[in-house]
Amino acid sequence: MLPNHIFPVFGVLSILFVAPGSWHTTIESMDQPLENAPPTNLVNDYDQTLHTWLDEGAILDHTLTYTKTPNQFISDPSWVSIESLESYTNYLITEERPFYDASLALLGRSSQVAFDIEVNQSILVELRLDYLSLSDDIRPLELSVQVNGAFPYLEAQQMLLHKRWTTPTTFQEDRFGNQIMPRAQLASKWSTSALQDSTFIQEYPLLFLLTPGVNRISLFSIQGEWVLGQIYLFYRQQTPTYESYLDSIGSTTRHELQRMSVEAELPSERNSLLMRFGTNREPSVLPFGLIESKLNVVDGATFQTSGQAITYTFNVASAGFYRITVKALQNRVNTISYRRVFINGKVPFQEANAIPFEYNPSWRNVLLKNRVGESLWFYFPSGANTVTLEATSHLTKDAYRNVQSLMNLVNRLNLDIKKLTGNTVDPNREWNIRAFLPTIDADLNQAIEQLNFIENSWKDITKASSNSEVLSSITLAKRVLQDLALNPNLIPRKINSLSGSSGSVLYRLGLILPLIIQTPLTMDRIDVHGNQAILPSATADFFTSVWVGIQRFFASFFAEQFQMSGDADEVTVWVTRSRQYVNLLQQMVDAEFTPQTGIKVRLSINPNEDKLILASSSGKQPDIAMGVAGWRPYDFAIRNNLTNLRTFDDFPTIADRFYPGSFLQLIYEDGVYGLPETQNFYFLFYRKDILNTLNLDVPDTWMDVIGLLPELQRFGLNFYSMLSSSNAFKAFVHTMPFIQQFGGKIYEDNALRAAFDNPQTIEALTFMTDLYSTYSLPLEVGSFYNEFRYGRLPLGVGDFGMYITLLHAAPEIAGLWDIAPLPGVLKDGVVNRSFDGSSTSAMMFKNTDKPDEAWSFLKWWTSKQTQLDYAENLISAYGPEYMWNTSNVEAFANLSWNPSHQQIMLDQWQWVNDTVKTPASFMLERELSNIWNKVVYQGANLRTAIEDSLIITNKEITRKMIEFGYLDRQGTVLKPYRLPTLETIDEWLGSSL
Amino acid sequence: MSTKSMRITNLRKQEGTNGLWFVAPYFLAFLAFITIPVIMGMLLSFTYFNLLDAPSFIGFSNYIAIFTSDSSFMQQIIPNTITFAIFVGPIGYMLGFFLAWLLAQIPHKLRTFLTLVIYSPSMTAGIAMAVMWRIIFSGDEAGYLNSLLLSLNLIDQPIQWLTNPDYLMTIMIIVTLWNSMGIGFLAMLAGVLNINPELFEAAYVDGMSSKLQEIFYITIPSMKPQMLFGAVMSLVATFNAGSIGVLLSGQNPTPQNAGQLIVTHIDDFGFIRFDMGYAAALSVVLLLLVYLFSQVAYKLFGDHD
Repeated sequence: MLPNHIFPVFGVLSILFVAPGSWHTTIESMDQPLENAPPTNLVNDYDQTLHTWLDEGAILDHTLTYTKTPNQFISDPSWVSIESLESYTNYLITEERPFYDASLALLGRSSQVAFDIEVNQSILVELRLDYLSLSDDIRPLELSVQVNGAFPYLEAQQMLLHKRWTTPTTFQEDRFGNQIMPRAQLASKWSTSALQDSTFIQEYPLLFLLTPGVNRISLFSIQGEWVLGQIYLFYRQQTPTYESYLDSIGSTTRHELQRMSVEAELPSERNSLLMRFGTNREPSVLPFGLIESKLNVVDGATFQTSGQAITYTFNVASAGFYRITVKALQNRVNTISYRRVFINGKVPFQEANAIPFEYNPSWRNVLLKNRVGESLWFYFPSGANTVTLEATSHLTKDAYRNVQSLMNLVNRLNLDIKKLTGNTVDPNREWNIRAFLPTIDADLNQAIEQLNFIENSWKDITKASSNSEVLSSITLAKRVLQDLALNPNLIPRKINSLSGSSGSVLYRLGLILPLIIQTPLTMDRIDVHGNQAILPSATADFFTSVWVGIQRFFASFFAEQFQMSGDADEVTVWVTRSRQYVNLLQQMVDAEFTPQTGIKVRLSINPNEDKLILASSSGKQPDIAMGVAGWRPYDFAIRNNLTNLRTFDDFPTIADRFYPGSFLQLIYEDGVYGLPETQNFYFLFYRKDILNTLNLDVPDTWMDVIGLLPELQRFGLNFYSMLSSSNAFKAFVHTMPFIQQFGGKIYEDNALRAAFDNPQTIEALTFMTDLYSTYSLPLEVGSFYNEFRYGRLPLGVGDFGMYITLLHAAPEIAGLWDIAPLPGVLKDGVVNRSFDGSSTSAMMFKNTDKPDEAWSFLKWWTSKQTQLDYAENLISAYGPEYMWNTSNVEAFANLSWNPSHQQIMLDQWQWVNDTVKTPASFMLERELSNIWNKVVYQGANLRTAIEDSLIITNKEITRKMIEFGYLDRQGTVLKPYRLPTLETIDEWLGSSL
Repeated sequence: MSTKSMRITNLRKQEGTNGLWFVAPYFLAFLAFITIPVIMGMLLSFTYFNLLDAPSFIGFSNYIAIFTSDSSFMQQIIPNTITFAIFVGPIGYMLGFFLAWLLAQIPHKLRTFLTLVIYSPSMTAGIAMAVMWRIIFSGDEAGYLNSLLLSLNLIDQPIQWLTNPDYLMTIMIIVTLWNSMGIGFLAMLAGVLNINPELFEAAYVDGMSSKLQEIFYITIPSMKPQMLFGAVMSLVATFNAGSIGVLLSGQNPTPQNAGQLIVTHIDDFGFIRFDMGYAAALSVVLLLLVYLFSQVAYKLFGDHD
């Protein structure tokens, strides 16, 4: 089904199979079979499967335990190496687990191990692993488990093991006194953890069924490199009730006045880097900064996903029972967030599985209580104790599952009806829907019932009143469904309210789906204290707040961090990126680059690239400009304003970091005037669900696309090409891919004439216009993102921005879509997928007085390590949607993104062929767009349009060539213009001129 | 000369200098932000200036190029600008007057409210406005206008209002008219309200029989200064409102120059083609055009006493 594009290209990790899995982990996303693993056709999820097992008499209530050491594993040495203990002693030194007598298994991205276990009755066990992560990227370890050669349920296809992270307890500050999110370190500590589903939504670890006889359990490592120690098959242990917990502890000491407190931003450990520290400006939140940003809280916007846990250490002087109070801000309207509390790694009693934190718009000291409001005691032995707070949404699991299944139902209904009626519905036609879809009444009623269930369970769990976001969405969705159920024959006309534009049932469900399992909680301080201990007030009094506000207002006039100018000895850099990007980079520069080299660098935000022109004409330009559009350096270079980077001896080694095709528009005459920073990609987005329903293959070439169109359009669906954008101006990035794929060109070799009449170019233009005039692609699409989500355009070409948006802002279709390389043109057995991937670049101005320092900075900035660090820091500081699409090829290959998508990007990248700039290229860009517009909108003859445009373009080329001294007024060539191409670009990037 | 008259003369002199002090802030601002830039622009129009290198003097070449070799200027931009100006200028002006007159006929509270409503479009920033209009005229089925026309079965296929060159100019004119009720309109409203009601009474006594006569014999003659002000404001606004086409179509130049006006042409040359000298020459042409038309307005409404 997928085109054969999964060969590893770069000498990174040899990727033996492709295992998708995205940042927001979805169980559906693992639909491609593992190599060596049988194909899967699973439908049942864990809950259903467990139910069946219990019905069939599997025993849960037993006390059997089995232990397997790695030297008992059955494993192919080419997949995994089983090592003796000695070679890993260095990992074990810090370890509290020195009892390994045997061996360790070293697992990589495609390893698998298996072991046999013999039992004599059907029993259910949890799987616990001793493991130690070796890879220190931000993603958790991923694995899947098979029992007797098959996944027992959907969840077993992708399970996560968290890593253990520690952070320094002193925060570095940047030059303005803002604290910097410290770089977390992977703790070299073993973890023991029972396998859970990837969303951590189950209350207890997953159970596996062992049947009488020999069972083979296989583990497949999907993501990360790690060491596996012993595996335990453990019976499910019951957590005691609160009463039996109190009784079981011998001591009855209940403390009164003692108080131990820890700031929330100083945990001893976290299990995910996505949890971040933040700044809260409330005066009562410590440490307090007037203007500077002090890291003083654990940010609730990042501490909200089930399974995230954060651990604090308390030194308890005298053993006994204590209260725990969390100074917290839970300001999501009318909801309750739940936390599971571990004392010294164990949930002490059942009530601690779900401790509620109720909604309150301001900071509060929350004494831990059970769900009915009784304060809880926790026993601490003397010495160092840990308290772990884990976000948990197991209470909302049923509601979540119901929303999911409801969305599937609505999607199915929508597709069924669209198949029946097509996409454009004649309002005058009467339908007898029941005749075509006999189950429609039952389906709608089921949907309404499910909504009722979701509503009730949500109300029950969060005690929410009707004005919470989730409930109002449910109410509105229910109203629509009830309306549709009244007269199903009208559904075709009202199909939009089911699955269409914003406000539809599907849209609302998609909106609440992530909300249901989020449990945000911002924390400032944790206290372990006696019953009578006095805690500081959670909020500042009115006068303090007002006074701080006044001080802050006046201080903001003088704060140095808002000034633009730098000192004379600093390299000034203007960056056209948002504040987050610039701040983080400044911090990295101050922490790494300046200490290493002694070169000081001052970064400033430049909100508008055009400012660079004005700054240059007034002589106020910086030393370096970063984040400028890829075509920008040429305009400055041709007017003699930039430093030719080839004048630096080591330029060829630096140029090696990028694809040659990315330099094409940075070249003028003999010089190279910029370095690529980020890379854009174009690829094919497709909806797996819709293509499956219609039984269509993912197109590999444009001819395949044309082959799909009749079938798509039969159902009122269509294809989106980049020419369908709502902007009338079709830029080079939209037009040139076609021309290059067809082997065409737009310049004559001497660059003095446009070559729109080149036979291949004409072929390409014919194709581009035929797509619209003959094959009826949509002429103008306001938002491909939305049309794709609603399924009206289930296939189309999008860029990297679209990818990020879909990944993070389309929860309702998570796991239902995928990407494939850009369709191309098949010629001589090769599909030419050329595209213009120009994104942003960096350039150095000519009149800089510190060229060598500036060059060192650029070298440092574009190096693999810096780019990788920057990419990881962005994600750990601001969240997973801050994906840094670096142009450095090696760095990109090492980013920890979804591996299969990353591979598609790397494959597509080989075809990068940016459009060469010349003094009059803007005119070629316009006229290409005009040719297309004239033919498509006004029905002009293509040849005539080309001839007209050639005259205009050639006139402008001549004008510009005279301006820059390549021609004289009589048309005599004064000096030749050298046009770089993919074939000749190495001359520029190599060392010889 | 008597001491008294000496003192008066001194007082006059002092008053003169005092007056200068009062004028000085405005004078300096006018000098710095209007006079000097205009003179600089005129000087630049005789140079080749690519914004990055120093300008070099090339005489009248830019002007010669405008009128001899810039085919889009003569074939599209001037006709576009004049079409646009004719529709938006006089129609907008008349509409402004008509609305002001209508508003003057209704009770005070309602008038204040409606004035605010009519005036508000001209306050909304161009971008916000273009965003709203771009949704209305969006070229897919989801656009309001397309959706309406489709549901009324007036069209079968969505029309690409903003990308199709055939429609862009019309839409530009409509949108500009919608937000043209600006300061000129307010001035005219003030003018209408300022007319002494006794004049009307007197005229009715003298036998005036209709509202139309009232407008032509009393209202317009009584508010000539405001009419002139409104006319000049409307002219300047019309010639400067060029960027509406760029905002609506999302690109400069507009598709096949369909909505290209002098202002956007200047922008194109100045900041996209890096030919500031040429752009300066174009602005001088624009300045002359505006001056010419405002003279016409002065002839029509000015005080000729």
